[in-house]
Amino acid sequence: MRLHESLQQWLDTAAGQMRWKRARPVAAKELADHMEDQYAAFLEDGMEEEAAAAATVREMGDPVETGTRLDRAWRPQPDWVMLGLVLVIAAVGCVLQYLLRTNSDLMWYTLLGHYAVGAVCLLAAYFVDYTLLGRHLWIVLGVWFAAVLLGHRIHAFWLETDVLVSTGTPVLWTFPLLLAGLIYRMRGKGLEGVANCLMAVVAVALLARFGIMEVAYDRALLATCGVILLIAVWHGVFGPRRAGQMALAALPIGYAVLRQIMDAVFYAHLLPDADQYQYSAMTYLIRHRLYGTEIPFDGEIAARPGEILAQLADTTDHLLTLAQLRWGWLAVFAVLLPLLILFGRGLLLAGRQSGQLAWLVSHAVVLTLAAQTLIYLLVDLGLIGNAFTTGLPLLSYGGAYLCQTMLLLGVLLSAQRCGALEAGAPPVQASDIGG
Amino acid sequence: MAIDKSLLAGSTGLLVLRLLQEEDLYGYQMIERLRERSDDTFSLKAGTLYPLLHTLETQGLVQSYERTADSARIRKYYHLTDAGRAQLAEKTEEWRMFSGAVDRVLKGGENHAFA
Repeated sequence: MRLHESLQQWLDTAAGQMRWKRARPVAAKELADHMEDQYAAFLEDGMEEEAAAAATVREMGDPVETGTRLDRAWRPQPDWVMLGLVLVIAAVGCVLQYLLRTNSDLMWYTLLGHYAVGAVCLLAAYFVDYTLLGRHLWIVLGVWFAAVLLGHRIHAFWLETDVLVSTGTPVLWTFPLLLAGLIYRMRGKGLEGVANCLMAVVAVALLARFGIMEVAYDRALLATCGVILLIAVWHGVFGPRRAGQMALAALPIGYAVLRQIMDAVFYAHLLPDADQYQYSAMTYLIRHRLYGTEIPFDGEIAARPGEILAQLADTTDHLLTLAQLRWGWLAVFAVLLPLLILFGRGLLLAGRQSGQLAWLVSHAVVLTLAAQTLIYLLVDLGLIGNAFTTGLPLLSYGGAYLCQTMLLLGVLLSAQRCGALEAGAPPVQASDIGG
Repeated sequence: MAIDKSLLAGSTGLLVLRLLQEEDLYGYQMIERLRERSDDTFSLKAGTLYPLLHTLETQGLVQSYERTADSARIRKYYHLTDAGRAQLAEKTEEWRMFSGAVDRVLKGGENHAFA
């Protein structure tokens, strides 16, 4: 409905006082709705249009004063604590990579260059509207798909090999962010919505497994996406919480756990010769050092396991192993502690979001980075095979993973900064929760 | 008798939280409800209410969401959060102490006869 001219003028004057331009339409929409209701009530009371408009303006109050108050109420909310944490951990990562480097050709300015590119990714994600994930999901999904495949092919071409770990993998690990967008699009659609999200998760896991030959990422990604789906169901994003939805959302986690158990039983014990994709020499060397297990190799590796371990470990996949070798367990704990604080802060911010997309996106970012950290830790403790490894957020060496982490953190900070602009979800009532 | 608006200024938030304790409302409904309950004594301007609501939301005391209203139009409703309930209980107690003290002073020291 088109507003009366004098009402529109009042609205423009009030909104014009707000310095945060992106907040203007949100505040103006609510005020316009109010004016429409008030104007209609006056007309119903028998007033003429002009008189009703004038009375509505009187009821609204002073537009400048209103706009000034709105300006005070609507401010972007950057989280300086989170930003500070990111900067501190990035600085620690840069220093650690330099101190623990195994390649003497690696210069400090190369490392700084990596972090500078990462900072650009963070700033780009911070200032680009995160609601793109909800509004233009299919375009974002297309760009993401192209980036995964191109990242994989370019990397393979560059290294003249069809390597298992490619630049496509860090891009692949940004999928949970897209899943958050998809869950948002499927909100309120009940079991059908959960099923659609599940199909997308399975499709990406298949892409990881057979499309770009990532042996283990299918289950790691599946488990992470499963957790995100599960908390979305629990939070009532798909509508009233139902046992069927919960069961469907838990399927990816169940599959990942089952596969892991099967691998542990069949590959590690029943078919020890078939475990080459998961347990590299590094895994056996780490296990030998930490738990005293035997090394199933002859020759130099068995003769000098400690030296070989120190030679093979690098800051890309085994930063924690190197830290433990060089400085002991306390160093490993000291490296992980800031990350734990970062995830704690991230979850706190995510929980505070009233907007559904901001809530989903923030949780997806924190859970993705936490999953990567857990996987990295398990690999460096020799508990899971080397083929699983990811980047250690902000700390391990590798430009592609660093950019991925920075991009995810930029989206998280963006959702925190602008999440208030998004309309929240209807609160879940106790009566909505059923079996 | 006209009421000095400054008397209302400090307690507007309390009144809004109290209204939301009963049910979720959108802005226009709040103003109407407040007017009805106070027999036209409190006539809150929209220009005062909305900035207040947005501040309460930033503080986590209320939560907004969109829902189709009776008029078949989508309206932004406000819901009282748990933190808002706690704040309401605290501010209500504070208000009772304050108004009781004002009453006692206005009565001219009758209650201090035994002091």
